[in-house]
Amino acid sequence: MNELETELRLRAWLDEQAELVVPGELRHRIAAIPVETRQPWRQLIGLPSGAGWSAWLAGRRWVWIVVLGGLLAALAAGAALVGTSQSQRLVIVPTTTSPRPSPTPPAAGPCAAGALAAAGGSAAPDTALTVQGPTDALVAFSHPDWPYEVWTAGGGASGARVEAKTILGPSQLSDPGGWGLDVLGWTPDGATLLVSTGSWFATGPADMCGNLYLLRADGSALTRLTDNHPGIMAVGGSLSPDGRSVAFVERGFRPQPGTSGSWTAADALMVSDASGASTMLDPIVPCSGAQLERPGLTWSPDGRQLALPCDASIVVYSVPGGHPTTLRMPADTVVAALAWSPDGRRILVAAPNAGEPQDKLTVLSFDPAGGAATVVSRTTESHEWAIGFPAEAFSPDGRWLVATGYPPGYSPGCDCHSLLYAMDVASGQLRPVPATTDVGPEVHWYPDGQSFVFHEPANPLIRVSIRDLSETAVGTIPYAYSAWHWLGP
Amino acid sequence: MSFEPETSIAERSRPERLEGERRAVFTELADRHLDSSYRLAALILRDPTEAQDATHDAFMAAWRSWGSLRDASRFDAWFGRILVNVCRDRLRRRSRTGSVVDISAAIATRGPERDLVSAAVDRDEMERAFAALDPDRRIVLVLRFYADLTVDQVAERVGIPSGTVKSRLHHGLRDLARALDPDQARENP
Repeated sequence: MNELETELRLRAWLDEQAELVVPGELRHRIAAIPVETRQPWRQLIGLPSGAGWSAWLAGRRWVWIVVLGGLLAALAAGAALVGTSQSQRLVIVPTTTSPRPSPTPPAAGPCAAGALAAAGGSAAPDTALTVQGPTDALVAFSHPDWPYEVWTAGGGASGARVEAKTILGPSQLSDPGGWGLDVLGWTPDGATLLVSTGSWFATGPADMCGNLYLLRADGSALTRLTDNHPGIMAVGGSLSPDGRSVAFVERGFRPQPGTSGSWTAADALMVSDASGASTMLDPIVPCSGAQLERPGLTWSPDGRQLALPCDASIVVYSVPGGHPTTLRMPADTVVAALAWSPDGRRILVAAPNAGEPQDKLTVLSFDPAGGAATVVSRTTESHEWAIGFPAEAFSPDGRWLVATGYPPGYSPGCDCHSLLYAMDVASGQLRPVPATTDVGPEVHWYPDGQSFVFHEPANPLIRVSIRDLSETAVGTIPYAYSAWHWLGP
Repeated sequence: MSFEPETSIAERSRPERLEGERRAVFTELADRHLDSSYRLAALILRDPTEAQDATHDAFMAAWRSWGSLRDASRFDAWFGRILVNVCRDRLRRRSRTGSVVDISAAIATRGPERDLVSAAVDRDEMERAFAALDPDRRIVLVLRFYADLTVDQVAERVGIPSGTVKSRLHHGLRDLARALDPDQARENP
C-alpha cells in the first residue's frame, strides 16, 4: 500500500468516523455537563472521566477514606467554584441545528420581464444551418447575441431531419432579460431539450431569477419546470438517463445576518419530474463551492443516484432520498472530470493537483457507497490542465478520457498552443489529438465510446476516432454560440 | 495621522462595554464552532467522553483569554490552536498513564447498516492502526486529511515548522501503511 492509497483510506475512514457524531445530540450532551464544578475538580486532582471511574476507584480503596474525611472541604470548594463560574456557563448553550431558511417570499410576483422584450425583439440573421455527412446525431445550441434562440439540427433518432430555430419571447419566459437561454441537454429520444434561464453572476435578488424549461426540439412546446421568484434560481440542471427527471440546485439569495446590503447564497438539491413537481434531496448542499457547471451533477446509469462534486469531495445522493455519502479527494486535488462506470458500481474521477501550474493527471476510482478509493492510473507527463475538462470527459465505457492541456514546457506568457489529449484510463498513456490547436474544451462522445466530436468556432464539427485519432467533418455550426449539445445516435 | 489605543476585538465589539454583549459575541462564535470542534477532538482522541471534556476545556480556555483575540476573523485559527493543545495534552497524559481508548460509544449509531463485512474489517484495522500512532502524528493527520488544512495552516495550528508537519505526515502515513499491511512492514522495516 503506497502513501496515496493510505491517505485515501485514512480520509474515508476519518470522514466516516466524523459522521458518527450527531450534532444535535452532541450539543445537548455537552450542554448537560455541569461545567462549573466538574472540570476544575478533574483538572486539579486528575480524576478520570466517564467509564474510567469504576476502574480507577477499584484500585484505590484509600479513596473512600479520603472522601469521607474530606467531604466538608470538598463541598465548600465546589460551592466556591459554582459561584465563580456562572458567566462561563453561557458559553455552551444548546441550540438546534438551524434548518435551511425558507426561500425568500416573492417580493412582487414572478420574475419581472426586465430586458427580455428588448432581447427577444432582435432575431439572428436567417443563416442556413447545414449538417454534413451522416446525419446520425442532433445538435442544439444557443446564441450569445440573440439570447432567446435555440437552434436544433440533425437527423434525429427516427432519421427524420430536424432543423428548427426557436425564438422564445416575454410571453413564454418570465425571467429577467439579458441573460439568455442555456441549452443543458437532450432527452434520450431526441425530442426535448432542457434549457435554463438566468445568470450565474447575480449578486442579489434584484438581478437574480432563473428557471428551468423543457423545450420540444421543433419549438412546438415549452414546459416550465420551476416557478422561481426574485431571489431564487435553478442552476446546474441535469437530465436523468431516462429523460424523466431533472436534478438541479435551487440557489436562494437572502440577507446575510448582521449586515446590510450583503447577501449570502444557499443551495438546495432538488429533483423534478416532467410536470415540474419537485422533491428536495438536500436542504443545504454541504459545501460552499459546489461545481454545478462542469462536471456538475452526474446521474448514475440507473438514475437512482446523483454525484455532486463539492469542494474537495464528491457527495453521492440516493434518489429520491437518503443519507448522502461523502467521498473525499486526496490532498490538493480537484474534481476535474467525473463519470459513473456503466454498471454504476464505481465513480471515476480525473484529478490534477490544485495550485500547481503543471502536473500529472490522476484517475481515481471510488466506491459510491463510501469504500476506499483506488488509483487507476497516473500520467507520466506533466501538463498545464487549467483550460478545462469537458462535461463528457470520460468515454461512456470509462476507457478513455479527453482533456485540453498545454504541451510539456508550458509557461505563462509563452507562445504555446493547447491541444486535446486522449488518455488511456487503464495505462495513463496520453496521446495528443492532431489539429486540435486551441479548441474549446467541449467534447461529446458517441454512445459506443469509439469516437467523439469537438467543435472549433468557424470550423466544422469534427468526429475523432479514438482508435487512431483520425478525424472526419460531420457538420457545421454557422456562428458563435454560447452552448451546444450533441446527442449521438 | 492619529493613533488610537490598541484594543482587542472583544473590546471593539462592545462599544457600550456591556458584559452581556461580550458574552453574546463569544457565544455566537462558540456555538458556530461547537460541532466541528467536537468532531475534531473526537477524531484525535478517539474517545467521546474525553472529546467532550476536551472541547469543553478548550472553550473554557478560550473564554478566559477572550480578550487576547484582536481579530474576530482569526477566531477559527486561534480557537483551533487552543483545541489542538488541549487534545495534545490529553493524548500525552493518556500515553503516560496507559489508559484504554474506548470508542464503542462513538460507533454505536450509524444510519443505514452497511452489510459489507470487508468494510467493517477495514474500519477495525484502521481504528487499531490509528490508535497506535504517535500522538503528534495523529494530530497532524487529522488536521491535514480531515480538516483539510494546508501544511502551513497545520503548522500554525500546532505551532511547529512546516517541514516538521510534512515529516510527521509522511511518517504518520508510513506507520499507518505498515500497520494496515503487515507484509509491507516485514519487507521495509
